[in-house]
Amino acid sequence: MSDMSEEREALRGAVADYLDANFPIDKVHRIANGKEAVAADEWTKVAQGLGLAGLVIPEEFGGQGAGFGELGVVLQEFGRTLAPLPMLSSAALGTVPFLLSTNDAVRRPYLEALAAGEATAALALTEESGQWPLVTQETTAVQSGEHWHVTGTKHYVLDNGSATYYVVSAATAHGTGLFVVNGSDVTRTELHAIDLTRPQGSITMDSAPAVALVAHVDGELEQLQDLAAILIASEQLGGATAVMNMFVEYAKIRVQFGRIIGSFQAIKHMCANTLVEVEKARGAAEDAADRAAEGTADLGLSASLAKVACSEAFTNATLTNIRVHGGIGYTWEHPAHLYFRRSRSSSALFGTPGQHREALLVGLGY
Amino acid sequence: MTTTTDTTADLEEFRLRARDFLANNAKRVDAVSEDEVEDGETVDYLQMARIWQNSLFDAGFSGLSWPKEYGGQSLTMNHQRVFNEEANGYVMPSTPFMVTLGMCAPTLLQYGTEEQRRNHVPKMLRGDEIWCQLFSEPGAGSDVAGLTTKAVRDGDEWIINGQKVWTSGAHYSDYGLIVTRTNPDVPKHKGITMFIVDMKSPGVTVRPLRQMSGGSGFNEVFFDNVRVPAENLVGEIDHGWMAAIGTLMNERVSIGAGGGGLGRGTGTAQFDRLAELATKVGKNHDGATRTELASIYVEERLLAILSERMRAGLKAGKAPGPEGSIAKLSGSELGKRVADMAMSLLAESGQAWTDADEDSFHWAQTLLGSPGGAIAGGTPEIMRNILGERSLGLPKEPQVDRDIPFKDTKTN
Repeated sequence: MSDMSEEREALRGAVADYLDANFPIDKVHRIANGKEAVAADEWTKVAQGLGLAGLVIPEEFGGQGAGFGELGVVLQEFGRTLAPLPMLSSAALGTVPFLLSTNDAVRRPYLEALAAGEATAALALTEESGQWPLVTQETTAVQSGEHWHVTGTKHYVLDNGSATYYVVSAATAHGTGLFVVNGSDVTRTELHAIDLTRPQGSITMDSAPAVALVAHVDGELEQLQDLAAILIASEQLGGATAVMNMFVEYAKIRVQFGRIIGSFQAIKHMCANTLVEVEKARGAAEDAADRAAEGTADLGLSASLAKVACSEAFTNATLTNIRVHGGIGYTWEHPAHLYFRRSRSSSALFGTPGQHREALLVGLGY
Repeated sequence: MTTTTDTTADLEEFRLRARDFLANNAKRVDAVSEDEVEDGETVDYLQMARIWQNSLFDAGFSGLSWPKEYGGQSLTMNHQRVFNEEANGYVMPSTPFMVTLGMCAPTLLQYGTEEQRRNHVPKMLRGDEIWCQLFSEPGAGSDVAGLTTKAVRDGDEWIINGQKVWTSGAHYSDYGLIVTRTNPDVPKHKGITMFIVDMKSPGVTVRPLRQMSGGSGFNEVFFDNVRVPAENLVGEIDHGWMAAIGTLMNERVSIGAGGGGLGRGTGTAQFDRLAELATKVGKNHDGATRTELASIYVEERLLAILSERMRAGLKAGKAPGPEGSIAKLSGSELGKRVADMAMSLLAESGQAWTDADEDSFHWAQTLLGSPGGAIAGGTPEIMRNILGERSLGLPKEPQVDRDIPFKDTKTN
């Protein structure tokens, strides 16, 4: 138990050192404003240096063979810094479908390319309605001989512009399947996104050649949705922790009425309320990630709990952050809005708190 | 601390042992009346609780993660978790031991002498000794360090005079942990000393206090020239405040977790009962009801996970941090929310009922108990101060009484 937590803290430290050195918030801000760009080979360097691209990919495919608990810790760090790299989109969400597949012949080349950081994959499940859990899929996949072709449009795809592969869900004649489509075979459209630090887009496929990863899902789609909620929850937790630290530090130095503002109970209690929410969210996120590490079935309740708690802790913390800072917190140059934006976007992705509350009741039999 | 292993095989063996013990010794919640599940005040309940604690101890299920030399089992947090899982659905009459095991015993383990630990902790774990904590006073509520109960040294003894209040279980306790003023000439936090006091000592008078709920779980306790032997000193003379803080932190963990260190609070009991009520009154498809119901499930589970993690921290040898305040604060907010939702679902039938209506009676008790839950162990405002100052390191409000002799401060 303690060995495991020590290993995780070592991993957290290594990732934090890299992110703090390479993606301080002012640099992330410049990237968001289009004044600076991420180096083209940055992700490959991260993949090969820290082994993050293949963190949860089994060693036989060139990955690190770590579990969802470790992935959660890394996602917390990426959430803390808003680093614009495809950690959530590719190393987590885009990789998980390949882990759920059991067809080694099909998945091997993809997993090896992902682990090496030579390719990225994006998960494309949601359609324009944005409803969650997923309802009827309008995207279809048709088989002719050995080959599949996918037609339809997927929305709200994270880090859309740079993905090498897309994993899409599509209706087949016999149910639903998960398919891999090459980035070069889709039409990409950039969306206007409230989150300035993570591009989103839609993809349109018109009889695009596809490889069946799971030709006929049997629980995999539910597992994928649960895992997506758990993974983004870890990232949200990191964001919530970062903004809390930001406004608590400010409350310790800002002086008004001749006093450090953090000594006023009105401010102190706002800070305390955030701490309460964040620590409870931490419990839910880490508990869900640990359960995912033990097995990917029956994660629905844990996933929804984590998504509700982390979404609300993060969104509430970003608003408190602006209020504790006052006017300066509402300016464009202050990073507070980057977190505020990320929190609202992430809260909506993979199920809103309201959708997950309903899912909880349904899951509990009510 | 200990090298006990918790491999899957160990835990599975332990799980079967716990399951067998519970099936043979505990009652199912659904097979007993309301009083047996919830009452913490009557003599019958106390007797039942003592017998239960005896059997837990004798079968090796008391103090699972506590050191063997003090009567525990030196097992791991995972054993406690497994036991909690198995105990879900059984009556665990633990209320009378909440203060004893959740607050007093951890304080002795941390600050007591070796003799005090060996003399008392095993008996506490077996249910043979029940303890109370004598902290609050009529003039010292949120500001416990403003206490004025005096202890004066007289040879090998100390003589205590004063009054304590809001003392849970004083009327059935064998011993109490009392904090006293031993030096009024220094600032208030620096002249406080903690003692073990035998509640049967001459000069101790316990009077029950009736709460707004109608129950009498609390007492006022008067000390009139009560003599306490010098070896009953806990910690150092005039430095009892740190030990008191330790007790209070344990209290918050304990109240927040709702289990007195016995390890309850992993279930979703409040949610289950509310969901059943919503169905019964035909509101289970109502949107607003569903939203609130789901929120209560979420809060209850978050609190359970938090409590489990806190216990894991305690097991790992960490003193309870201010995180106990999170559990205490969240627990009382949840309690209010649960009561409010039940009253809303019951509508008129929640505010008056017949003898036969156990549901309405239960919810009325929950409602009337909820304001007390927020105050016991520190108000929400005090909890937020603690979190802001100790966890987050924010500065205190300017203090007018900190650096002057206690005798010169303004008191009630």
